[in-house]
Amino acid sequence: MRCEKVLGHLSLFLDEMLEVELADGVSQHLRSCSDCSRELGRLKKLRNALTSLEPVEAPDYFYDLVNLKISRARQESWRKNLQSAFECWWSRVRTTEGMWYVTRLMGAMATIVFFIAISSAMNPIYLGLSGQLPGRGGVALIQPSQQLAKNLQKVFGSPLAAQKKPIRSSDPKINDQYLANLAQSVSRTAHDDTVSVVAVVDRLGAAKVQDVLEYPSDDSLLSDFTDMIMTAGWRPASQNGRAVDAWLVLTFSKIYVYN
Amino acid sequence: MNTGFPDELALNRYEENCLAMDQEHSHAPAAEVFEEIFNRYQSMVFNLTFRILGDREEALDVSQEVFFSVFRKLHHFRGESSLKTWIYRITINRASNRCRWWNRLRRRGTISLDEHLSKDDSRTLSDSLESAGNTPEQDLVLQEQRLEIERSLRRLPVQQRVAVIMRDVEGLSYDEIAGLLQVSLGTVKSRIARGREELKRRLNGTLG
Repeated sequence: MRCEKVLGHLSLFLDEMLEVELADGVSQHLRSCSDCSRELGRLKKLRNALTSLEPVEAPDYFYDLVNLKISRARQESWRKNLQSAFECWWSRVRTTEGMWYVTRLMGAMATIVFFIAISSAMNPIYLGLSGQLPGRGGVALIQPSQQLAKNLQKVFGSPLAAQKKPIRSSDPKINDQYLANLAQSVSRTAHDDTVSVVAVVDRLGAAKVQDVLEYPSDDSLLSDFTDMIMTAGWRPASQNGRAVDAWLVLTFSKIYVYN
Repeated sequence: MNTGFPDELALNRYEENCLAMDQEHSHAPAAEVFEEIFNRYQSMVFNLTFRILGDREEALDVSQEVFFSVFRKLHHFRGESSLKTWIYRITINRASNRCRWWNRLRRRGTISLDEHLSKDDSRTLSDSLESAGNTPEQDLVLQEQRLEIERSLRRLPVQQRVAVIMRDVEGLSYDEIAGLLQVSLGTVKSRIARGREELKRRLNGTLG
């Protein structure tokens, strides 16, 4: 047997894993070949060195680390269980017709309750509105508590009656046609003009000009617009379904009046 | 360091108790049962991961994963092999995967080749001096030899390293290794022979 072949079998020979005939051949060769015997000796030394490697000790806190990992995982699994329970429930709801309609109905009711709650939360700032014009800047002041009942009565009691007043069809409507007619009725200037006024529309739908922010060059144009605003039919502004006073800034710009 | 493993292939009474308790609590093993399992196998798991990975911190990390995996999967364990075999297999898989992960990082050049290999000289000179029966010089030589062997082991390809460790450090038979790694006997023979050859070549000066 040649050295190359024997060297390839040394590992298995050392572990007695070679077949008998092959092991005999290797054994015979080793008796006569000092190089191969030396290699076998080195292999034995290697194996002994590996076998004699001392065991290492895990640190004392090893168990604590594992426990920590497990307790964290338990918390996560609690969340996962909750999530899967919800998914299971939702799947059942979606696939059961009756439950699906009931859930939709409950969802719709919950949505309505939610919006009512939101609007109720936003309402109180308007409850103190006493009806007069607000101060500069348009911010309404909240009245003292003794006036709250009165205001509530005002807010919930009268506006319904006020809203009952119908807007008559004979009332002039502010629209393009109305403005065109108005423009035709005046024939004094032939240049661009601008009118800007503050108007108050009350809960009965009546409007009056409160202030003039920008005067036109022709004063008669202002009186025409003021008449127009006061004679037009206005739909009262509403706040949460209730009629309220409203302040408007009306600006008519680029007015071109034909001669 | 031969543990006699896996001559215990038949489930012993303790493992049967574990299984029984586990089946009663179908989703998580009782804390006491798990603690028993941990106490019994923690040394085996830590040593095996340390030999394969060659780094204490890495070994600790992977050992944690092993026991966490055992904890989570114990209720799936059907007793087809012994509990020890099952844990052993998990350990080898986890440690081998971690090795491959390190190798991938090295190939990408993310870390230097020796960055985590040289951290493990955990045994101090005083430890070796405490060894009974040897002169300090002999202890020093043995210590150097041990370090050199561990260093060379870590440089073997993962599959060869695992096979050599299982055979020469853990003392398992070829059949047992083949069963645990789920490869043929020929593959095991080949891996061990190549691994030893490579080690012998690397330890040329150390082995004399």
